[in-house]
Amino acid sequence: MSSKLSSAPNSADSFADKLVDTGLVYAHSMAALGTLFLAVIFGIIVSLQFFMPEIGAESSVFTWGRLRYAHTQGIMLGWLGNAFLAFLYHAVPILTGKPVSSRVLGRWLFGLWNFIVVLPGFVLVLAGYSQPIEWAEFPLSIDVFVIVGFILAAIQFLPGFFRPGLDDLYVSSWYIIGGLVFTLLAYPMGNIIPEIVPGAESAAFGGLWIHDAVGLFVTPLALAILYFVIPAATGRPIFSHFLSMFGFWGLFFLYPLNGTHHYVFSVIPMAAQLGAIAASALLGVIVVIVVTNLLLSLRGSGWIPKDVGLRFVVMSIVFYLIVSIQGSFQAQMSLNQAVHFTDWVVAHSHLAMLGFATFAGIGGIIHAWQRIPWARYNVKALNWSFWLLVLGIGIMFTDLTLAGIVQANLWLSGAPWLDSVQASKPYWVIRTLSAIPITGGFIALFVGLVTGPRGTGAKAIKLDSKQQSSLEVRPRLASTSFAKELGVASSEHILRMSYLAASVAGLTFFAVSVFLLGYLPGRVLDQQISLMTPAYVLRPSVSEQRGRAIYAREGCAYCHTQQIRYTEADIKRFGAPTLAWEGQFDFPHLWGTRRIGPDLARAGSTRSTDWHLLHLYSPRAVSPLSIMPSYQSLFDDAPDKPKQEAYDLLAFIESLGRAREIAWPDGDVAARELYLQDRWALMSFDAPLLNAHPNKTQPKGEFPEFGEAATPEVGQQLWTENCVSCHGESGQGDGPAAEWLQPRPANLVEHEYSSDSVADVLWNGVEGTSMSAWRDMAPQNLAALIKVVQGFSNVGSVIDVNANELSLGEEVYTDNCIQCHGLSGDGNGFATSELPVAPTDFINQRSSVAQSISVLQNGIDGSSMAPWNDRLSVDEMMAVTFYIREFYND
Amino acid sequence: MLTNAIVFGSLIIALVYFIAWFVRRDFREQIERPKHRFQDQVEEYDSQLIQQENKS
Repeated sequence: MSSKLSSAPNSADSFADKLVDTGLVYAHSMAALGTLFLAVIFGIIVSLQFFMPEIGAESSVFTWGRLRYAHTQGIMLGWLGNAFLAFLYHAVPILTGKPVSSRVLGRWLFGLWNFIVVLPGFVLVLAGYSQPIEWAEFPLSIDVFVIVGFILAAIQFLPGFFRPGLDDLYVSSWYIIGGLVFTLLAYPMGNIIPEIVPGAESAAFGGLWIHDAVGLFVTPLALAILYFVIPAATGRPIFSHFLSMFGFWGLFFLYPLNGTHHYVFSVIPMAAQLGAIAASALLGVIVVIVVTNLLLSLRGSGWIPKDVGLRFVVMSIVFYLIVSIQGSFQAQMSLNQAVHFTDWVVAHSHLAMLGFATFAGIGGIIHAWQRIPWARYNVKALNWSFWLLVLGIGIMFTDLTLAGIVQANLWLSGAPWLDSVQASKPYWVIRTLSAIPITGGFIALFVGLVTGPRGTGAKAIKLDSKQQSSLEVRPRLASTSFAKELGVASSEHILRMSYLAASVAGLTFFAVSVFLLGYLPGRVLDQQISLMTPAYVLRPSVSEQRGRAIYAREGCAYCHTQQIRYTEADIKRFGAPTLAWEGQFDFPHLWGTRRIGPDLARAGSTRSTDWHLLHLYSPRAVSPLSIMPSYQSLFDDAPDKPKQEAYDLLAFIESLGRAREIAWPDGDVAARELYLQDRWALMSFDAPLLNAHPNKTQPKGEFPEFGEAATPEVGQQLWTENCVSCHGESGQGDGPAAEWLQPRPANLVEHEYSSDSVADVLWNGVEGTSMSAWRDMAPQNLAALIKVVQGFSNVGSVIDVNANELSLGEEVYTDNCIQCHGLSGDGNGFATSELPVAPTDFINQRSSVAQSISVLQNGIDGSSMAPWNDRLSVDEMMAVTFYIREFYND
Repeated sequence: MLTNAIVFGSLIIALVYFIAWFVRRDFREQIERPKHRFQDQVEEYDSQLIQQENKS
């Protein structure tokens, strides 16, 4: 690339190079494609890991989260950043009539952007140095250079717009100025403020940046390309400059006000949410006006123009319309509560970045490329590129939108979480397959720009201009009466006044958005925190803080949200909605915007330690349908050999929801009194299982009637999908996870269980063990599982037990067992409350003789059941075995 | 309150803009002028580029 900068054939002498630095257009275009290929490769690996989660498991570098960070930052800063810079080097000199500020500065900016921002950014996030803020994942050290890059870009491109003699500004110029200036303001706001304000406040600013990244950086520069290329390629002015400027001001007013729509139904004040929702709806109206103007500007060119650059631009407009209308609708509460966090949103963001912005970027590059006299140009390959990309993005968008609808329906239905994962897999496979035409399209684009005869692009311009020139009608230019009436001598003065008005208005718009959607909600949240926080809240320990950093580094928040929304489905599945004070120690927030796995806001104390460790080391060992990546690098080759990092991560997970749980009831009672009029806050206090996860393991005893069982086939399928990993296919407690869990999973063959006993365990789980509660399953499915579990039993029958043996057994039991198992054998002896694992209830459970003897001889690891072979004789063990079997009463 | 401010703020900006456009013909001409000037600039650039290509 750098050699091209200096070795462009006759570049210094050509007409084009006197005004436009074609070397930098070329260099940034190549850098754009280079970083695009890297970002696409990261994206493909990430998409494969959805259904082949073991890819890259042995390496800490290629974990899903880190690759995802690199993918999105690569697309935004690497691909689009370079593509926009390439276009600016072509467009700004034509718009201003003079070259950019400095060719030397251009080389520094190129080097800085690619070799100090993008490539080190990739290396750092893959090495584990990042920040968990959406669209701001490069670490703060890189952010400093991004800001320097934007300052250099402003110095490079903006002075020409303020030169004497320029007496009006075309709409592309406005978008370029707006895009560069406001990104320079928004970038530090979005990258730094979430690091210094906590939880919900951090999310409010993060939400602003998510939309500013799209609305103040990507969209303005993409629209600058569209407004530039259309008249340049068709040979006719745009339909209405008035409408284009109306759109410009509408977009710059409304885009920054959209930010909070990423957190609808959250604890962020409802006024800010509703404001963002209203702004989202209005934005859709503005976009319709913008798109109408753009399409009318294309009249006569057809839907598939011959000029390839223009063709990409046309498709970009179509994508822009679809994605904007979709965005306006999905911000509305009725749709948002269903599709938010699903792949619907991922489809939306891909259509925005890979559809609208990428097609605009390619259109801009091809348009500029045609005007580089020494550049090669292969129109056939570019045609292929267009069609392959349209096909690929069309498939991806449709597929992910459908996946989102499926996920939304399953989540609303209350079905177990893994049902949605399972149902999504075919869509995820198709999404990966859509990468074939997309990658093919990008390769064809590269081929189109580096093969073919030199200068062929310019021939295309000549042909098109000749074709279009006959259609051109020039209205007369403006009179000067408007200027005179405004009391200025010329329209140049009007431009000066416009700059002043635009600067004041633009800064006001930006400040208003930060004030209304960032600062004001922050004040309200601060007030909530100070009023509602319980008197004593445990601060995170050092280990938990380290664990949080690991959680952030690995991108866990990109699959697991930590915000329970104020919706029925969320409350039912995850517990009481998140209050502001719960995140008061979260810098930055880890709320997340996507749920591939379940929300973890109240995940603490829902699983045992060894379950968590095994789950981190080998997720599918305990949850066969899980697609979570393995984090084997946190262990020394075995799940029972965790490194300190695994313990830290576990400590952090165990802390999630703890503050809220131990605050009950005092904290909530006080807070409820303060917020009696706030129906949203009351939703949080009125959740069914107040402060814990609804699926948390709870003491045995109470469970509902499950009713009629689902079919045996359903039961068997549920068994295979959820139970085999621990209990084994044949129920012998020998699943792949069994050897790592203490106590080991029950051997269901060697036990006989009453229906109530199994129902109790399925509903409540077993405290102190890895047996979790399965209350998220439908009752008829739980009833079917009871039958499956009971079907494994093969405890045999005991004959010829004489009275003496039973008498001896009673004596042994009374002397040694009643303290834990109770006089009646119900597992409720006086010592029970002190034991981490409840003793066996012999009334509802009967073991085979062999199993009982084995337990008496060896005890049960991980429980309080000790070996008795040093205290009881074989006869005594046999006698007590016979005796306890008598308790059983199905 | 905030919603009203956004909605009415947007409407006021739109109304002022559209009223000015309907009422002032010279404003209409003034605001459309940049597109013609840009058209001249971009075509001049292209034509000179093509001329040079033809010479070479």
